[in-house]
Amino acid sequence: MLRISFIIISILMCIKSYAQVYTSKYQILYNFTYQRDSTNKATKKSEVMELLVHDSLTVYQSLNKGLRDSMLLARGLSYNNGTPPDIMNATEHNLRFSIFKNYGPFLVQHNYTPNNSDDKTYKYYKDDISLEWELMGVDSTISGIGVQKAITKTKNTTWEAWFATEIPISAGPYKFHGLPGLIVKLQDVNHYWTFEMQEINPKSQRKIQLPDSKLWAKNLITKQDLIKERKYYIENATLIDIANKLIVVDDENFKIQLMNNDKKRAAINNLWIETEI
Amino acid sequence: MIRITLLLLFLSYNLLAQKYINGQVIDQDAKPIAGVNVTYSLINQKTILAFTRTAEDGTFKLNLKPTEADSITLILNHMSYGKVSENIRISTDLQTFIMEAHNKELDAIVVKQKAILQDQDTLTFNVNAFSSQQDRVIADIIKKLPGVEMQGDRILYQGKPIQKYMVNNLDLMEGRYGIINNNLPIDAVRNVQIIENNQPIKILDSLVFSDKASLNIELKKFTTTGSGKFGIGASPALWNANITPMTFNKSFQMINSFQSNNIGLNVANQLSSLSSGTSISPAPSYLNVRNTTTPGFDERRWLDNKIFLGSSNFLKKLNNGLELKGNISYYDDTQNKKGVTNTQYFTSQEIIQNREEISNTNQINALNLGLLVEQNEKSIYLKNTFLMNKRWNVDFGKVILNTNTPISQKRNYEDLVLLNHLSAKRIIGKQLIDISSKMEYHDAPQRLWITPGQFESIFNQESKEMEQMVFFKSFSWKNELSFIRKIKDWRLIPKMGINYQNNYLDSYITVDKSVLEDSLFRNNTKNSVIETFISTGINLEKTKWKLNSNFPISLNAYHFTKNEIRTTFNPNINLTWLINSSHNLTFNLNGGNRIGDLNNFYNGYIINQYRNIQRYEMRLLETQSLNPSLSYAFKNITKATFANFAYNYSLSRRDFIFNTNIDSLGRNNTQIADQNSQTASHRINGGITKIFMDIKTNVKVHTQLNWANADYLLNNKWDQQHNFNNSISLELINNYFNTFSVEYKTTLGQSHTKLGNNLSNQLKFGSQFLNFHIYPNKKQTFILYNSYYTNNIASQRNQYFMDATYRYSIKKWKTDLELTANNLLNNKNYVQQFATTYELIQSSFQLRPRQFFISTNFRF
Repeated sequence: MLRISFIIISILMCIKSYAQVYTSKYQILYNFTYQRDSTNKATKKSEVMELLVHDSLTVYQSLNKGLRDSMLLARGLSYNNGTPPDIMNATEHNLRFSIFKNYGPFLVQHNYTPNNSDDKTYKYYKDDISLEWELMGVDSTISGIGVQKAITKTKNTTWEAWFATEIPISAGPYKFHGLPGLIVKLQDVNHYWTFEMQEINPKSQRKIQLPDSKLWAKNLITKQDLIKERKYYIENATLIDIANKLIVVDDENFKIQLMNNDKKRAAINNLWIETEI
Repeated sequence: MIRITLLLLFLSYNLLAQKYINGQVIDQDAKPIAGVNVTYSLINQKTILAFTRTAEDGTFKLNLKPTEADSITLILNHMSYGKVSENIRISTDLQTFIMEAHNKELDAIVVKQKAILQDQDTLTFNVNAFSSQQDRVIADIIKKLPGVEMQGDRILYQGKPIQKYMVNNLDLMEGRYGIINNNLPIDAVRNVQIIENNQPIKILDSLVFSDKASLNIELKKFTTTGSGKFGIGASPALWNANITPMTFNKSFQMINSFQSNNIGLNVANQLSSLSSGTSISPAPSYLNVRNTTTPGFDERRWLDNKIFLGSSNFLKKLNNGLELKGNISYYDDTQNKKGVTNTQYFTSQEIIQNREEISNTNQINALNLGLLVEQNEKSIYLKNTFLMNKRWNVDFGKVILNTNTPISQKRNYEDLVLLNHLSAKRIIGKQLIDISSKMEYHDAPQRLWITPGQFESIFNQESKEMEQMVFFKSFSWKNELSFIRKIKDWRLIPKMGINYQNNYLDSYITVDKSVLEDSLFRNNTKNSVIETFISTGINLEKTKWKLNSNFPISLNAYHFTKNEIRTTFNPNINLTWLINSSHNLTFNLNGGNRIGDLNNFYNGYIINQYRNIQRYEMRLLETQSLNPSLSYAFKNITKATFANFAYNYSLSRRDFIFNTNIDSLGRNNTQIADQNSQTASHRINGGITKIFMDIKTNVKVHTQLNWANADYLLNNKWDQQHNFNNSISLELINNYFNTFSVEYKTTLGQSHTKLGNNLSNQLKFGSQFLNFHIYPNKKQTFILYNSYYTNNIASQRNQYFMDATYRYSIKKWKTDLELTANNLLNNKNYVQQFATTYELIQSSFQLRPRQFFISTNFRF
């Protein structure tokens, strides 16, 4: 453990000193379908997510968030200067988080406000997850890829994964990892969350930059606190945004209407994968 | 002996003891390799049984599953060192493995988007996987989906009509989905979903099981889209115009449509309700002009029309959960129909032959208005539907009877309908309370004018003209209260209700402008019925079994010339066995006794048609029936195979029979006779659809088989009619090639009718359609349509139709320019033959001649 911490510290020091930019060797795209209200299947949404792999370093995020970050990086811009509208429009996304992993625990960067993010709106938490996978001895193929079935349990549910026996990438979508092959399909028993691999791009060569350690150390909170804060924000988005001068609402009635909408949105937003794993 | 047992025990203990492999992985330079995936399988098998990963120092300990084998295949796999697999002996000694550095080259993989996905009850069909170059609107895709068939504009899934057609989960059109289906461009659509066992009322979800399917269109984004068409042609002057903009937002949807054509497209069909739900049925039509039978194929070949249609529909979802829907539509349609009908009447004494040359013009004007408020939430359901329809029809008819007697007719039909339906459901305590109240009012004056006058023997006079007037009004009010209570897997649904219906019928006949005063030719009746009913519903829902049963008993108090009380009992039992995710079997049994409605209550004669006069004894008509049925449905998503089969039997016994008397000119006079009669029928139908994804080919097969017998009474002679008919159809669509695609459909069938007096008629028919789409490049398309109709009618040769279209597509503007030639071989008439209980009818119908048309079609 000490050794691992030492490695992390040294890596983070490297990042800090040189702001090292890695180039991904593989990009794996997943179609992620998630249900927001446990009682209503019509609240299902989907988004294309990417898993970028550079040796032991992995990044998992919305494809469009990744594209936005690398466009900004290419133009030498940062969030703080505001994102140009052309980039904004081309890279719309709903899931505003990135999950970094390099040997040690996951480092999750999360922006739960839908507002144009600057560095300050990002919160960070660390998550050290080890999953016990049980191999089910069942094999099959998905689109010509030989796969085998494995299951794992998290807090309240069981997940069924199909991993590629011939692709020795132990990483997977979201925080799922540790199988002897790449996860091709993953789903919980209630079908609230489904990950389906769409593409493997071996020549993606995407630039990956780990978050600035100074910054994340300052905004580091626990996962429970993030979930609490996010819940509080969703329930009171209007008031918080007004207080932060992100929106201006003059009409009191309209304000009340917006606040009611917040409550309704919060009510149908009751399924979070973060509370599970 | 004991010793041996002990030894065996010891041995087996040893065999079952946890075993492991201890190892280290190093490279050529003896440096340890970390992060190597270590797995094993039994020799000559590929299933991985356990796995681990090497630590920083390259060591690993791989626990093995209990096994009797003494060797295994150990597999080492790493992205930078490739894969090594080695058969090794099981031993706990430290073993060293060497891997050479060579980067594993991963091939680029793009997982093909699956054409069909299933998530619990939802089937998602990917539009891209089903679309081909010639498709433009969403109906083009839906008709190709496996398990789905279209009967005209109606969509059926596994042989049953869908209950809802939604866009982004909102039901704007309430069953009048033809307008969306025929105008929504496929570019706007991501997926088409079929939701099986869909309970659209949220408060009933998980309380009342539904076996109906709904269809949902998932759009790519919230958008304003639509399609349009402008074209002209000859001859005579032809036009077709259609502009249908649609807006689909998160909480607001709107569709407007303006269409006009005289090219045989009956666009009024797009306004008709295609699914069950609150809809209006027209008032009974007592009078009609003599019509010729329209051909049983593609309307565009024969419909001589001139239609103007406008429709506006909106849906607004309010913040408080209420949905407001409104619609207004109007159309004005003029249809001309020309044909010749030869009829043979088989009476017990003789065979009467008639020839009628028919030339009709039907004018239809219809105004529909609807206003709906709906709240569909987990805790409450509220829906109020208000509908208003007004229809003005005028028909002009000309008949030349037996080549020398011209007869003119004019019929007016008006119908004003007002309907309000309120339905509310709410959970109070442990049960759900459901209230429904429906009111419907009709005012339908009708008039038929005939010259020269007919039925001299009945009126005892010859006349120049005669006129039949009918004034019909009705009012009905249906009220229902039910409770739904869940007890474990059971649902108890007691229901009670009271319905009131009253009918008013006033009619008189004018001969040569003087009213016939004789009460034999007049009606002035008011009749009413009050039905009180109670029913018990018992439902059971288990994972594999679903039972739905209902036992309504009704006490009906009739008031007409006398007062009469009747009871009816109509139980219904439906049992579904979900064998597994692919197969299910449903058995249904319903029956009981019913009393006929009050529409046929007239003692005085009414001239229905120039050749038909009727009067009915004022009496209640009772029918007892028994209808068992068995249906089976199959689906296999991965193989894109869907199938359904059903058998229905229907037996009904009536305490009456219609007695028809035909005079020597074939004019008939129908009355009710107090004699029991019976009809029985068997029906078997089924279909299989399969898509061969690799060769982009859809195959659909449908078949049906009916046999029935029915009693009939003609000129006071009782007889039995036997009817047997069957048909089979096959449809093939191939889109494999980039340069052309083919559609082929064939239907073969026969119908055999046996009447009394050993008269019988056998008809064989067939049709074949072969369409070629040729794409010389991405911009141009040649389409050749071939249709071939065959039959065994002596006087009619087989008919062959050919149409052709040239299409030039401008992708950037989403526009097609089209040049179409219809009926290239210029066929003039279509002849068909069919039999009723006492007639054999052979009719020819005038078709649309060869016509040319140029049009531009666009999507936005």
